[in-house]
Amino acid sequence: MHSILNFFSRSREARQHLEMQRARLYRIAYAWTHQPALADDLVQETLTKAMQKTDQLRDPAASGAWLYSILTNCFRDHFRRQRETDDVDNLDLAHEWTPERATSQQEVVHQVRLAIAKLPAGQRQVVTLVDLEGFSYIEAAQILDVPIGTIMSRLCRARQALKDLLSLLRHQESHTDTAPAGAAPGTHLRRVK
Amino acid sequence: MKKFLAILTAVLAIGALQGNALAADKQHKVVYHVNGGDEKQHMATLRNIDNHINAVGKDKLDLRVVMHGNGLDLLQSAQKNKALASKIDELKLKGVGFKVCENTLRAKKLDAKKDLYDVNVKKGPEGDIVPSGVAEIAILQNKGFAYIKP
Amino acid sequence: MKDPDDPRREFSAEHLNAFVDEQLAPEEKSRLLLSLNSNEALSREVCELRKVRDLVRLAYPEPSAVGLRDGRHGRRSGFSASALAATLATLTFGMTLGWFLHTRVADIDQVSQDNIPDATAAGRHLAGKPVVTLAATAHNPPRIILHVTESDPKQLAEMMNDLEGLLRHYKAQNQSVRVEVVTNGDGLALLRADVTPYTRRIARLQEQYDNLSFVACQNTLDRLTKEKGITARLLPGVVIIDSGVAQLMRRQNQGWAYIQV
Repeated sequence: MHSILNFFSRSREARQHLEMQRARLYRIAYAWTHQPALADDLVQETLTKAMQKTDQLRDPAASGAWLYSILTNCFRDHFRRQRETDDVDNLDLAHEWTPERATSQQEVVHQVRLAIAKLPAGQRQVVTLVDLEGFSYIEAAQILDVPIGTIMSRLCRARQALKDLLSLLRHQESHTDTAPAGAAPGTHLRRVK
Repeated sequence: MKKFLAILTAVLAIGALQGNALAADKQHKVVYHVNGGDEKQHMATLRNIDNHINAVGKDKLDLRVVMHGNGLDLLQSAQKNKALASKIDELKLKGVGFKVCENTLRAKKLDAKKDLYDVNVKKGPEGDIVPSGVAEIAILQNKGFAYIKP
Repeated sequence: MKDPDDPRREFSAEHLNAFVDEQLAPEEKSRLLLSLNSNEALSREVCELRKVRDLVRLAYPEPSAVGLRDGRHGRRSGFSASALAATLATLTFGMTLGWFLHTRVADIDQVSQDNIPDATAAGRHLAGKPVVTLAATAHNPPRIILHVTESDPKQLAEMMNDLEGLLRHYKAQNQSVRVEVVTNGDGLALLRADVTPYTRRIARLQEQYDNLSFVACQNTLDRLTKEKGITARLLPGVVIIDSGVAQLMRRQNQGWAYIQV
């Protein structure tokens, strides 16, 4: 009797633990898709699958990377099984920012999210797993099921691309001509609003 | 003063217990979804519901029938079809709720009191009219009602 | 500043990134730290990498820091606006100089090839939409599947009325709702451009309502082609899923309400 009770309470604990991961999972799913509804679906699917496997899990505390590899699979499966007849711009980002009400803070957030959304999926996944969830390169390699060398090169390219995109976006946003390459640096600095 | 407080506490406690018993959720919750069918099918559905109640026991079952779209025919036919009408009466006595979609009423230009059999037009949860039949079914599912489409 | 791709460089971009992420082996780390002390360009590079990382973190706040949704307008978490602006300013400043000093035009073009939605197009959609904060979970809106399996005109007519009534009902209560209309078998007729009587009505609904989707089943499409030789043309904006039945099961697992219409 005692051991059965233990089993149920461990299961319940494991499930509660998984539920607490929802917000963190959502953050990553959102960063990958920038579609709140889709992100929520992916998280729901991930947690459902995880709960089905929980009884097999020895140590719930060790479930971190494992949970995200489930999310990775759900993410990949979604785009594999679904296609739309028209190219619909599904990104929610367009709705997030009204020029009249934007504070500098919101503006920055908006621009960074736009830049992340522009990255190829593989780079986007790596940079968010490392920067937001603090996974090690080895863990990220396990989660995404790629060699660690791929992780490192994707991360490098992602950060370089973000650097370039963010500087590029700032230039577009300023509505002034981009200075030609090689011009004297002092003459074309942009002022931040 | 102490004695008064003790009695008051006891009374409140008993009241709380009774209140809980009354408010307790029935064990089995089911929503039957009716959005079409002819009189024969409607009669069959009502008989199925009756069997369901007999199998589970009316005190353990919270069963609601939600009608929308062409499903309102059930209550329209019952205005003339005595067999349907009396079956509906029977089921209502056993605690079955019959809910009607207001959207459909408007779309079909029906008057609930005149055109449909025995509809309680009172506003709110005691009445029989819900703003959207489909929304009602979704809401009930979210509350744990099982969904049956006969 | 030296070109990061210059093979004569002591430390590759991978090194620097790994250093920033605390992933470098101790000996490598010590070697790099020594160089950082004397090499200003290297320091700047590391600093910029850190800034990019910080910006990513700031763009997606920690879940505990996210405020509750206030209607449709989110409340911001407590980041200092000026600190953020300053961060971006320094980054831009530094990168502007860097951009001119070692022309990386080729790299920039490379990045712009990869499937980038046009920034100005995004600008066109901006006006008039409320700000949305990243909510901890969007579990709140009710989620409803309408499963269409028949093509009987009377039933389809009622179904369209019900759908519109449903959407209007939630809109009137100022509550968001997610509705997915899944068609398979004969129900596919609803979404076939050549046979549906509801082309314009569906287009109107798609425009009026967010979170409304129409789904067609690939298996049904294949069967139609194989058995009747028809290659169905679907309405714009219709999502094609591998299997309608599988989709229904997925949705039910995800806790969606199911209604067969």
